[in-house]
Amino acid sequence: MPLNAILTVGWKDYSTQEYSARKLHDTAEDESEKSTECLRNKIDDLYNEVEKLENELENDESKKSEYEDRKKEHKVKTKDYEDEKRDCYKTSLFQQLQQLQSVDKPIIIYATEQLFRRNINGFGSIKKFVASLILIVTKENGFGDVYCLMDVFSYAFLKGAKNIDFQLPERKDDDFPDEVAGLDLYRNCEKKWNKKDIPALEEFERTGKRLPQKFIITEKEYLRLRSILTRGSARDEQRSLATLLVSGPSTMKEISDDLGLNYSLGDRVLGVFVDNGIVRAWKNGKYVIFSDKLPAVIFFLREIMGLDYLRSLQEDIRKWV
Amino acid sequence: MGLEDLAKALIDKYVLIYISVIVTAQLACWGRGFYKRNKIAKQRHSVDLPRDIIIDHSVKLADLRKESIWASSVLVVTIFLAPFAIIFVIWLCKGTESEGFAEIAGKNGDGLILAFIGVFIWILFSGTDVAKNFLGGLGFKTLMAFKSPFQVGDRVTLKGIAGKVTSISTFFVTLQTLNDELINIPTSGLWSEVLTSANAGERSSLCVIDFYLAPFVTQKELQDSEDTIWNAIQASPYLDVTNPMQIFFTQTDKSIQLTAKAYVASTYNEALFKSEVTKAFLNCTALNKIPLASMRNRTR
Repeated sequence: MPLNAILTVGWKDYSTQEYSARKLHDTAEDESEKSTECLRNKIDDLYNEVEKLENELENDESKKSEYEDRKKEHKVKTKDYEDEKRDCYKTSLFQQLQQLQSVDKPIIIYATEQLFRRNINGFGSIKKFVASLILIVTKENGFGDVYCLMDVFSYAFLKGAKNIDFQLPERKDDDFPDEVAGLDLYRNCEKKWNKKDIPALEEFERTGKRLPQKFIITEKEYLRLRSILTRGSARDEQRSLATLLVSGPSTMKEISDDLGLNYSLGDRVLGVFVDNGIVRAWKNGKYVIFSDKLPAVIFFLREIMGLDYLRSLQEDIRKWV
Repeated sequence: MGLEDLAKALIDKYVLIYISVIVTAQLACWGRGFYKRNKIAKQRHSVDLPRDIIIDHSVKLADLRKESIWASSVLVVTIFLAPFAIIFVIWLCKGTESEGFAEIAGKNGDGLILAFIGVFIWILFSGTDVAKNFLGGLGFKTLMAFKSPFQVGDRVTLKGIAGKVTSISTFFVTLQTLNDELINIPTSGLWSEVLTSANAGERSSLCVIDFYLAPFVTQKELQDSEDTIWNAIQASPYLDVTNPMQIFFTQTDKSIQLTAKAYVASTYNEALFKSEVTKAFLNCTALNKIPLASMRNRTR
């Protein structure tokens, strides 16, 4: 299958990168909006007509059949509009991918996880993007391998929530281009995290055995973070860290909206993690967890909130009995 | 053998040594466990860690298993083998050529045999409440270490009382209820009880959340409600994504019931998880003016 996911660790600012999933998706959305503008205007006019008739219906029952007809027409036209918009989206995406394609190297799409946010309305973009890619990226359409780079935690979450691994299976072998091999891949960190970093934190917590020198986190930092996250009233701090881990780089507004926090609370909560060296702020106003602190974050979220995303990568999702 | 002979046989220095060996061995086991726990506590204190340990309790199960094997083995070995060991030592001390092992056993073994039979019957029928509770509790703890019907940290229902297991000792299992009450249940009394564990040693547990819509909702309202519940569950940071989730519909004469089943990642966050999902559902129904079933009209 030509479409694969490669799991990465840590986040970079790809917002202006030509090959980023966000750029491809936004361009395709803009194109589809422009192409269907006429149809959109017609639907808006129809809607206004329907509303007007609805108001007139209160005084004049004879307009009922006209109202029903217009309402039906509006419904049909809306469906047509959505279908056409979807087709325009796919066409635009197809054209963009064709431009990116070259003979000697495969297409690499960066930061696919940036299309997804973990909130009630946050799955639409990534579902649309991946579903369109599946239809477009085929050998018949002349495409070779296409790699979607995706953050490991977003992938693990989407695997459980949306079965994204069916559509975008993880590339398990080592046969991928050099520019990908040079990135921070999960497969390179997996052993170190599971066999060295996290067990050292477990031993420190369980028995007080000292952490190694030059470790990912000092004992003082560990104790400080522990005192914040284990407090019973630190619910918003725990949820914010979990959101940052799964949704990736986020502005304060995005976190506040996702979790239903008021803005100043989001400010305080993120400020705590910035002060403690767990989170940093990018110039574009997004906050992101430091890559080298990830094992500590994984450990705390696992022990305090029971969230074990890495386990979901190692096991198949449980089925109903 | 009359009562006088019985008493004479039992009031014997070797019987005293036998009983002392059993008691000392148990004290030594307890002391060993105490020393180990104390050592770890001191080591943790030296690095400024607080007393509570946030590690999942199943990690401690291996230690609990070792401790239980050790305590049970020591008890069994001292009761069954100690008499033979004592006679052997007597035989060695009196010189192996002067009398055989069997003769030594015959001369000095009456008291020991009687003491052994007495201890055995006492264990079998548990003559006193303290002994019964001690042995019942020790046996249950050993069973726990291997079969793990539940463990510290689980949310269980024991003898009709629901709560989180905070400690399992030889005499009592302590539960902390949702109202923060501490309930102590005799361990020995749990042998014949039905034990229900909400999470059975796992961090996650199943949550069942019911929602009730008015019976005259439209198809769109039904779909919107289902979508909202589904998305709210997946958007919650408390969800365990490695377990499946489902939404079921049931129709009654008074309402349409939606039952959502999903796993919360940490069983202790169940109330928060349910609250988040319910809040999202109520927001959606308020925004879209979807009618809910009245409280009086809900039937299960």
